[in-house]
Amino acid sequence: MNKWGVLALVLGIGLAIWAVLRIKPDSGSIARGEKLYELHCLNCHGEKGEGLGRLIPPIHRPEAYSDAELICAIRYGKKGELQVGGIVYDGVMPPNFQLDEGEIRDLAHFVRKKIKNCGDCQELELAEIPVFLSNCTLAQPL
Amino acid sequence: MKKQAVFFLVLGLSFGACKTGTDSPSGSLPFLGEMTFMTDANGRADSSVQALPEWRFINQNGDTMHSKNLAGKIRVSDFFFTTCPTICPRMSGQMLRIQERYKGDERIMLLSFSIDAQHDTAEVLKSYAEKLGADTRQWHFLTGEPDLIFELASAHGSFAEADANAPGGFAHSGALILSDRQNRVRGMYDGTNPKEVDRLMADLELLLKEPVEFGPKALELETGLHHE
Ligand code: HEC
Repeated sequence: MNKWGVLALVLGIGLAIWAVLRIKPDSGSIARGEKLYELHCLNCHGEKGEGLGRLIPPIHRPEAYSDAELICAIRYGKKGELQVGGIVYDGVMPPNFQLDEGEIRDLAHFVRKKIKNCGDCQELELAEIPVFLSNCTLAQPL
Repeated sequence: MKKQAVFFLVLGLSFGACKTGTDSPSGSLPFLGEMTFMTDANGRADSSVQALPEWRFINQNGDTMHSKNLAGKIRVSDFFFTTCPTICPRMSGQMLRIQERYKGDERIMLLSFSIDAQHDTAEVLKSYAEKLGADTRQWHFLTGEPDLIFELASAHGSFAEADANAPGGFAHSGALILSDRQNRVRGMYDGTNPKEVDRLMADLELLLKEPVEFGPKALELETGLHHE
């Protein structure tokens, strides 16, 4: 290999490392999200997001709801009839106005990666959160 | 520091003394009610323990239920409300685990007392029980005069009260309470912690093996918790 070859190889490896670091989920964010999940969600939805009978829907099915629905549910809560996996739920999920956008992102990170086990879903950028929030249809306090 | 050490030593000794004081087979559960020690006419030491008060409340079918009709049963009780935004779903989920383990076992009853009488009517409780998947032949959901239910909670060593500042309007403990066939409290467990509930079920096994007459006499209260 000539020196250009070596240089290209080094550059290539460097690029690859940089790319991996970029797409690797921010583990700090997921750890913070886990704490928030334990504090604000686990009592109802359960450790693995399995839900409870016909009182509280499971949230571990990847296809059940979108990121937008997740983010809106976290801030504004949810009520009224909701069909999940053939079961009609009609409960009340409380809002979380005390969580800021960073916390909502951390929580959403955790739910997508660890509850839904979505391995290859894209990262949520902090800047996307306000955009999601401004589009919530349930944007009235419960 | 020194004082603390002495305190814990004394505490440890008194617990140790309690354990060996009663002629309990190894691995038996303590009695958590108020104990009275006395000597009988022949000078023999005797002891008794406060039993849980009797009560009369309305269940999920709208029927009046009297605790006397549960005499001789081991009970697991909790205090909750259906619109509770915090720990109750978890407690109910853990009660459900206990029911699944002992389904159809007539020696055991599960009792969930609502602390929100205004919202939790018999009808609301029935729907909650159904959606939860509870078998109401073994598991009753009860409602009644709030003050009486709060009093019952405190008699169980638990705690519940109306509190406008608490989430959902009530402050209450997440405890599941285990009482024996003589209506004596034998254990308290954190109903939001599955490991604690594992311990409850292990303790329940001990109670099932225990002779009914075991331990200090159960002292009954003169007045129960119900309106005439
Ligand atoms: C007090 C119990 C409770 C808590 C706490 C709670 N939820 Fe919910 N959640 C519910 C109920 C009940 C519903 C169904 C609402 C309905 O019937 O419309 C629900 C619905 C949802 C949905 C919609 C599911 C779907 O398939 O559309 C998501 C997502 C969700 N919750 C996520 C969360 C997250 C994340 C948290 C933590 C911030 C949380 N929930 C906290 C009770 C709760």
